[in-house]
Parts: sequence; structure tokens; C-alpha cells
Amino acid sequence: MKKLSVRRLEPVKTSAAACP
Amino acid sequence: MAGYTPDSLVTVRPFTHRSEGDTVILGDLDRHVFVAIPAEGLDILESLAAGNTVGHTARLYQEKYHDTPDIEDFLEALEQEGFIGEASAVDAGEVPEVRQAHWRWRFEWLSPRAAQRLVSWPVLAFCGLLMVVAAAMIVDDPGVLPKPGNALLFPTHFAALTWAWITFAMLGLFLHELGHLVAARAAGVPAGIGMGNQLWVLVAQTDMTAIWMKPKRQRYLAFAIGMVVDGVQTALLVFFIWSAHRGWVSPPEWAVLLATAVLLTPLARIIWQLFFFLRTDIYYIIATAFKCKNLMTDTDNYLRNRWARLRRSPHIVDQSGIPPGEMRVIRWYSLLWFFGRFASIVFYVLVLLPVFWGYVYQFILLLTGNDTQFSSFDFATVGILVFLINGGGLMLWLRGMYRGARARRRAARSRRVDEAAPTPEPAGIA
Repeated sequence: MKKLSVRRLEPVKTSAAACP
Repeated sequence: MAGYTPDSLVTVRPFTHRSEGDTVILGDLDRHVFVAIPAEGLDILESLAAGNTVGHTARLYQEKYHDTPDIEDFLEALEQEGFIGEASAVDAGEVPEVRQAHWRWRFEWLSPRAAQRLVSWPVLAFCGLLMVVAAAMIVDDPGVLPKPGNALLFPTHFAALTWAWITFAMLGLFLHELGHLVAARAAGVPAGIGMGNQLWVLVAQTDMTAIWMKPKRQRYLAFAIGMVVDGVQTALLVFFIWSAHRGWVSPPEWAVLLATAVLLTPLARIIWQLFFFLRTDIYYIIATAFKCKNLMTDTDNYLRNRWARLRRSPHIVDQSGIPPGEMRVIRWYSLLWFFGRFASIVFYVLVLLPVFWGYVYQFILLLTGNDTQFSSFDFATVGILVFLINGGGLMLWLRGMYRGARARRRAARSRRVDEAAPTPEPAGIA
């Protein structure tokens, strides 16, 4: 029996701190 | 949850896909959901979309791959992610909802063509040249770099310069995120800038999850562009300060002081990239290079499992679904994760503490009745403001740790109660 996986991809959110 | 019989007909919702070696990326652009499936899974989806029954689709798979697919589990997983449904359920609108963040700034007026020009090779090469020249200037005169202990303690015009510094810091931050948005627009991917948080820190965020549908080269550019923006900001400030030190230009003293203080912010953002326990731009570049689907969560779970095993605790997260190659990357990345933790502590001691102490010292002078560098107006306005920003972050962090510890204690208590109960019900742990 061949198992077919479904993997959720992570959200892509770049972030930069609003310092210092 | 529908049970699928061999006679079931399945409605496949509209999706886009992109092949990546032996996996296929499926995207539901309306709901902003993306999943990875084995390449042969696409055959199953396309057969179902063509109107074949589940049983017929399984037979087609067998003829092609000489193996029996676990089609029931596969379809249930896809249904959970909202890619398929039984026809009646889709008509009734029973597709899992995905909560969308509210993004305020989309810059709709910027066309993909204009964005492509902004991130074209000539522009990037020019940015690289600026950075090389600035690096040479720093080697020539290391004095252009700010010293965290006193860069923000402006000896003159303290209040005005601090406000100006905060304004420029926010502008620089915004330009960094705008860089990501422009690169995403150039790739033809919807993106928006909003506010979010990482740990206890308020952050500006660019959401461009749909970049998953684009080839690697465009993804690398969309992630690396933030560092290019920071590099150019650094270069322009270094040019100005270096020229002033050389006497090539003679701006007022306050302008050089302000430029030196502002220079702290892109440099801090560049150092911040080394905090590998956060989803930094470099993190996304690494995850892209090694084709990881959710490297940070997988690494967190891996470390949690290692920790649980050390303590002989039974709470292990199942990672058997992760391909062996990706698991190797996760083990390797967990070392970087620790390096990132270490780097953040060093950054704290060498950059943040001196900044913080500079303000605290002036405050102590005031309390002990000594002469201070600040006027009372400076103290009343900006000193307190900056103190609140720094101290507020610290307070939130401590509060989060306290609440986390309290929640864990409560969870452990309720687990003990469950275990002691005569009829163990599957209780939700709040």
C-alpha cells in the first residue's frame, strides 16, 4: 500500500523589528 | 468528514500546481493555502477532476505505478486542507475557512513591470557596488561605525534628534519590507505589508505566501532583497559620515551625529538575520535551498522530541511523515537554531545593554541630584519614551514567560487529574 503524504507549506512572512 | 467509497465522485476545487522534483506544490490562491504532495498524487487529482470515480482512479494509478495507493487517507488529508470535497459538500460551501490577516498596504499602483525594473540585474549590481565601496570606507576609517553605548546619547538637541532618529529608523524598516513587496510584485505574487509580532517585538511583516508557486530563483530574490535594502541604507549613511570625517563635506555636527545613530538600525537588522530561531530572511533562503516545507516548525518539534527523550517523557511529536533527506536538514538546522540563540544573547550584551544603560545612567544622575546631560524637557519626553519601548519589550517578554510557565503547570495538573480519574475521557488541555 503506497502512502501519499499531504504536507501543509509554512506561511511566508518576512519580518523586521519595529528598534533597538 | 466524508468517507470515500470506490463509487464516490469527488469535486476538485480550482488549484494551481508546480512540479519540484518528485513532489508537486498545490496552491489554492483564493484561500492562500499551499501543500506539497508526491508527484504521482497529481495523477489522482487530475483523474478525479476529469470526473472519474475513486475506484477507477485507484485502478489507473495501479496500472501506471504497479502499486496500490492509500487513496482514502490521501483524499481525507486533501479534504482537510480544502482542496477537494464531495460535490454536495462543496456546493453547500463546507470548505474549511482560512483566516486571512488584514493587510493594509498593498501598493496596487506599482505594476509588475515597474517592479521588475526595480529589481533588475543592473540595479542589483549597482547596489552591490555601493556596498563594496562602503565596506572599503569602513576598513579605511572604522570610526564611521556607531558605538551602541553613546550613539543615541546626542550631546546637543537631544529631544529633536531622538525623534528624528525614531522617524528615520521607522522609514528604514518600512523600506526593507517594501523591498520584499517589490520583489514579490515583480514575481507576480500577491503580497501586502502589515504589522505582526515575533516573540515580544512588534514587527513590520510582508506576507507573500503565494511565492511558493514560483521557481527558486524568484524566491531567493524576494527573500534576499531586504538585506540589499539594508546594505544600501548602510552604504549611503557611511558615504555621508566618511566624507564628513574626511572634511570633503562640512555638514553641521548634529547631522553627522544623527546619521551615525541612524546607521545603527540597518546594521542591527543585518545582525538580526543571524537569529536562526526566528523566521528571518536568511531562514527562508536556507529553507528554499534545501526544499524544506516547514523547516522552523519541524526543527522546533525535533528539538522538543530530543528534550522529551532526555527526560524520558512520552510526549513525542510524530515526524515519520517527513522524508529522510529533509530530516537530515532539520537535524543540521537545529545546530544553527542554537547558534542563533547564542548570537541573540551576544547582541543583547554588546548592543542593547549599552544603549539601555546609557539612558539609565543619565536617569540615575538625575535621581542623585548630579548634573545630567539631559534637560528636564528631554527627560520628560523622549528619555521616558525610549525607556518605555525598551523596558516595555522586556516586560512583555517576562510576562510571556511567566504566563507560559503557568499554562504548562496548569496543563500538567489537568493531565494528572485525568490519569487519576477512573474513566479517562479524552480531555482537552486548555
